[in-house]
Amino acid sequence: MKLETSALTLARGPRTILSGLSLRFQPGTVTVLAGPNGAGKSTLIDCLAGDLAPTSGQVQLNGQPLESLPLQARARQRAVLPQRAMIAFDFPVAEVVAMGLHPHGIGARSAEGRALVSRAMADMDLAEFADRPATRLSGGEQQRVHIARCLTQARAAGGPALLLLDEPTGGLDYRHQFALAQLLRAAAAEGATILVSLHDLPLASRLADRLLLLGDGRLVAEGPPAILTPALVARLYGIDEAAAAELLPSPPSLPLRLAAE
Amino acid sequence: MASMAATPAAASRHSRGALAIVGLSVALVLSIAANLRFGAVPVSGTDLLAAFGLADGDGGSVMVLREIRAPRILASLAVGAALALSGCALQALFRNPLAEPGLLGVSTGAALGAAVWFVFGAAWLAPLASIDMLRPFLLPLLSFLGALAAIGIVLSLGKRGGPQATVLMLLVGIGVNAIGAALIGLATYISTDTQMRALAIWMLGSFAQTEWAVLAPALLLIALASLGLAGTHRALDLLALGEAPARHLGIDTDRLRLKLGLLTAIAVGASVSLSGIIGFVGLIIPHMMRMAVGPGHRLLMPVSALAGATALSAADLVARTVALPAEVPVGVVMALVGAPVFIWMLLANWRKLA
Amino acid sequence: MKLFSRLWLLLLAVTATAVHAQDRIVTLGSDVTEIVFALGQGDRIIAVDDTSMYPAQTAKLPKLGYLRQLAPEPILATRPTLILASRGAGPEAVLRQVERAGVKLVAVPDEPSAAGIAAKIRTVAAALGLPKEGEKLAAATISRLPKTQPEAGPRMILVLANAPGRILAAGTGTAGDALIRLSGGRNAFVADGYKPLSPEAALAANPDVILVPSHVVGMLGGLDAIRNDPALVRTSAVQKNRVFVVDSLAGLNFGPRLPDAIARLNSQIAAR
Repeated sequence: MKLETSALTLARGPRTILSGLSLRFQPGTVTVLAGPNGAGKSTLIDCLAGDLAPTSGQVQLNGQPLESLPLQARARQRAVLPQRAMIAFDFPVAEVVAMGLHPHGIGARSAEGRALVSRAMADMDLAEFADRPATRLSGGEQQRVHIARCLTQARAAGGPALLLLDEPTGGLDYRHQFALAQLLRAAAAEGATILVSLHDLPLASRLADRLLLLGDGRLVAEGPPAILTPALVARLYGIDEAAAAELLPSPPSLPLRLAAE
Repeated sequence: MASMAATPAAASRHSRGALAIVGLSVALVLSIAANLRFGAVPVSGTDLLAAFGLADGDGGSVMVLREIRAPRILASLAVGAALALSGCALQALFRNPLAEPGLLGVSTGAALGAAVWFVFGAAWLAPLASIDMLRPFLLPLLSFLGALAAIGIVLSLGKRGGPQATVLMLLVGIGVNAIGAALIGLATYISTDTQMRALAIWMLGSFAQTEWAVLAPALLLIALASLGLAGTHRALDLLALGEAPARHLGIDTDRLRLKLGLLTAIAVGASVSLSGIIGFVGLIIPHMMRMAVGPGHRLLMPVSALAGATALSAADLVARTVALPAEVPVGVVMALVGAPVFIWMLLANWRKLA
Repeated sequence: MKLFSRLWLLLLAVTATAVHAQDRIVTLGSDVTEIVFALGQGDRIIAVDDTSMYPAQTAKLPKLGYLRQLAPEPILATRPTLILASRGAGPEAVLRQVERAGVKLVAVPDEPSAAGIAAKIRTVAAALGLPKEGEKLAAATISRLPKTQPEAGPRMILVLANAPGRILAAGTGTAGDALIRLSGGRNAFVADGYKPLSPEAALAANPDVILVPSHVVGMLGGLDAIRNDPALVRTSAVQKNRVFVVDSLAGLNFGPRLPDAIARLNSQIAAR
């Protein structure tokens, strides 16, 4: 699943939110999107998901313009976790997770559907909540439910899929952050294309094959985690260099993929 | 671990669904039987059999059963089911259990369409009304157009979200209700005495004037709209995640919103054309059924339709027997039951928001 | 001779009654009910609508609900053979259903005029099989109406309320307008049908006499409240204390008691 943008620009009135982004997301890699608040991370993910039409430029999925693909076809190839996922009404956790099966026409009660749902719930440590209404869970637990739904949707594709996750670690404790990171590495190892936005730079540098640093709608830097220097971080976030140095792991931590493999 | 979706609790939910369907079906049959049996005109068991052509009964009683009670019961069943289904659809669309045709002003919009028919119908639609085939459809058509206009306003203004989404939606509903009431008032001002009376009765909600001739077209419209609404059950489930996530799962939410708006307008328009405004069915029935069988629409919608039909036919039985020999408007009976439940729901929601 | 003819008439009346003795009549509308009683046939009525409150015997009859909001079954349950429905009775669909059940239904016309009273009485009498008695009652009623000169009497308005505190006035085509004209007055309120009465419209009309139907007095909070209503307080009628209550049923129903209502009204006006 290859995802590309060419000269992607999005303006809202006089404000340019994204300007001229030409990006490429390859199968088998985890790309982490980072940058200060208001840099355009969520807007970029909305464009990549097809929720926002760019003012100019294009998004292509496997070489085809995104807008030319029907919603159903898009849903079979990629899953999206919005920044503030929610659910109305008291749907039980298992039913929310099973919603990921919908685009693939897999019944929630078929053997295949049940296997996918229970695997995702086990991955996100949700087995004990299966029949509890998702709305009654804590914020972090609800976030895990939505991640499990996205995992189900991606896995039900039966082949490499695309995952767009906007701040998936929001509300997650360390254990589940770590579990998620491992899952994403494992999915990438199986050929998935993954884009994750994160605020946590140490986690980002351990998870990412490639970092995309966004500032003010522009690409500030792009490359392996090693590009994260105190100078760059200080410039990107407008903090002083000493503080930036303390944020970054030193010496550079072991890439997570080694820990996982 | 291997069969997560079929845990004991999930199994009990499915059996609760089956239980609800069986229980409601029994209640529905009982309500129909009681509606046939009781009323101002006494009928015997033999008369009942005779009405179905199975015995010889009293001609007058048989006539009452066939020409007065039968269409009236069918009307209350159809309107009850249509309003409950419309409530389910609107609640899913707004992701809010307080969305309801009455509170959102959709019923008032339909009543405005009916008002236009009562006051101007003869003058404006004379060429259409002179065609026998079309005539019975004109009142439902105008009610539908009124409901559609109201739903259009509510959908375009009321879906802006945020933490105050419920308040905004209810305020838009109040606004639409006020506009509808004002325009109905204007129609009343222009109308003659007779037209004004017909309108005033319409606003209260009653099945007293149900005839086969007007029932048939409305039933047809309600049946089509109900089937259409039931067909969207999976999409309605996914809407609970929000519009963008539903789109990410392959649902064309713009088309769905349009479809739900149209189908709800047809269902509510046809209902109002039969009975006038009956509030709260679309509010309390889906709410109670959601508590009983869960929020999944595959089960919630048929169960709500059954419960709505049962509740409204039972309410009509009360309406036409409690003050014998006269009648109470069924809209009043429903409001007496529904309004307190609405206040209770509002308070429960408030606690959740706070 | 005179005695003989009277006896003969009596005999005629008795046989006429006997012919229709099995009649079970339902009257819908207080005007129709009054006329049946005025024709001496009140004991043939088995049920009435809620508005039929005169004469006092109606209190003992089953009430079938509000005139304009009837339901078919309660009517049919009384097993009527004849229904006399005034023009206001409805909804239409309900009357259609009752007719379809095989009950004879006579729609009684209601035109607020002297000729209208006559037509109404004749229709009811014919339905009861008493055309001659009808003619007599109609003639007697019309002959008791005052002979009036148009455009000469006092300027009047008749006020109603559609909700507590909301005043309407009677314009052309209404029973109130006809009452004013038949009692010799001129309607000072120029409008079509019953329309809300604003303070300015009331001042522009500036009536010398204000008529208030008895059922409206309570809705508007009593006669004093009406006199102090901002819309009415500055009118010459209030200033000169010429606000009069009219019996609603007798004065607005256009039945046999209209001449009595007008006579009482005119004597009240003359007395002040």
